[in-house]
Amino acid sequence: MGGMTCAVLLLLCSSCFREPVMPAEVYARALNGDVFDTTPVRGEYRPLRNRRTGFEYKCSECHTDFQNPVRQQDLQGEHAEIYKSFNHGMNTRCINCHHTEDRNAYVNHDGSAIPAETPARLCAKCHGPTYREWEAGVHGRQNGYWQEGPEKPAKRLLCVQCHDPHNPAFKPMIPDPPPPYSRFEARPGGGGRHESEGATS
Amino acid sequence: MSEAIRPTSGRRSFLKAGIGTMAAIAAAAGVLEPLRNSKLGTSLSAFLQQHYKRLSPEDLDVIMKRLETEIAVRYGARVNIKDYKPIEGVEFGYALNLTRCNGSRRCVYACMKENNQSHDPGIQYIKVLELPSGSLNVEKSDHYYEHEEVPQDGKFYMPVQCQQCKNPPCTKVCPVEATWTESDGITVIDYNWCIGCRYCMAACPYEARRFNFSEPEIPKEEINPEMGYLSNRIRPRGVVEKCHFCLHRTRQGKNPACMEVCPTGARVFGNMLDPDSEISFILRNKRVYILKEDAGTIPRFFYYFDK
Repeated sequence: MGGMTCAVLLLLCSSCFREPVMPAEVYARALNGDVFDTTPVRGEYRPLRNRRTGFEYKCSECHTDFQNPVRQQDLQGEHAEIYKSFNHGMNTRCINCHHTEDRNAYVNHDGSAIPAETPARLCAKCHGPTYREWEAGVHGRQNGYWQEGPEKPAKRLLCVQCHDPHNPAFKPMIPDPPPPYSRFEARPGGGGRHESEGATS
Repeated sequence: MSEAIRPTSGRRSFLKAGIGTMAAIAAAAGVLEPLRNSKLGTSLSAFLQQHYKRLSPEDLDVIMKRLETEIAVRYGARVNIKDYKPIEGVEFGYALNLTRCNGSRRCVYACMKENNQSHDPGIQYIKVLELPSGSLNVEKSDHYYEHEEVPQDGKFYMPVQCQQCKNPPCTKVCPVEATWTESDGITVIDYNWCIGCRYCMAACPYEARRFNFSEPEIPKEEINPEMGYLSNRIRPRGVVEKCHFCLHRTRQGKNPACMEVCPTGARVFGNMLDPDSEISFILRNKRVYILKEDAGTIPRFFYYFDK
């Protein structure tokens, strides 16, 4: 009888006083992938590529042959998808950014072309303070070295490596798992470790 | 008469002294037992090791070689332990843009990997607090949040790690001076000198310090082989550890791991003494605040909102 009481007590106590252990599958989720992922959210800045065949092309290759639709709603193919997901605030016209004659370039306030190699200058037309901060290295992700030198490059990303120019808000992400639950802490709003254990047994 | 029968050293006092000596020898043997039974045969030198600041470079080389061997035996991984010294004319500062941070916890796991933190029991240096909008009261925060996606509406996220204070309470309470602030502003711990009393954990207002309750468990393939003596080498059981601004990286000019992986670019790190650095730009142009200013700790970690 006494032995049984002891055993029950031991069981009860061990369930309470064990160290918090991180569930293995939680770790697997977080650590199986490359946790040291430094690739930008939207990838590298590269020339346009055909989705099916993968070859690179320039906008002008089509736009010398095809006429543009008069209304933005009448856009075809991938352009129609851009129109559907388009969400750039008050900036609703294609030609606010895209040059009407030089199809490979962007357009500046005075109608001159901004070459495709410097897309940040296009964004700077409206987002001046952000552009200044980006130039100072404060806005946007930086990789590499804080102490810049010949062998120590600091890698600064372009606007479009994080923001979709047609839908520029930063996209929500799936968060990594929470930390192992500490028995010393109570969760705000109830649902502490002891309560959850009581509910299962 | 009574003087005549009182000897200077009688049978009783002899027995007393004898038992005392025997007990002392037995106790000493008991204390040394784990050392004698050690499979590595290196624990005695660890036991007699001096404080980091009193070690000559040659002594330190021997110690680092010994630690490499111990890790190779215990974890089966070939590692490379080095001692990274502070750079002259550098004082590190860290700024975190809370408007950008989306609570994805990428920094937490990059830090775990980079700094060889124990997987079981799990140790993480960075806590990402989820706070309701309109409040900076950390009492209302939750760092166990689980969502399908982040950021959630009506919430903002504040990662908290060691604030590398200019006036650190943790170093003052350490009874053995196992933790101190280096010239570049990083508060470090000599893991071999720490006695595990956890006074520093009680003193820290940011809950930035972690204790190794048991021998750290890390899978061999997850171990980062580039280790610093004062930073990310695998800690022994029973010592305190914390964020050290990845000093094995930052003292080589690299960015800390948490900044490297931050997908939103919320983190900015650099030399506060260099007026052209990004961190100086932020301190000049943004309205930064420090966490728990009233504690008087003067952190080198700054938070700000913008837009």
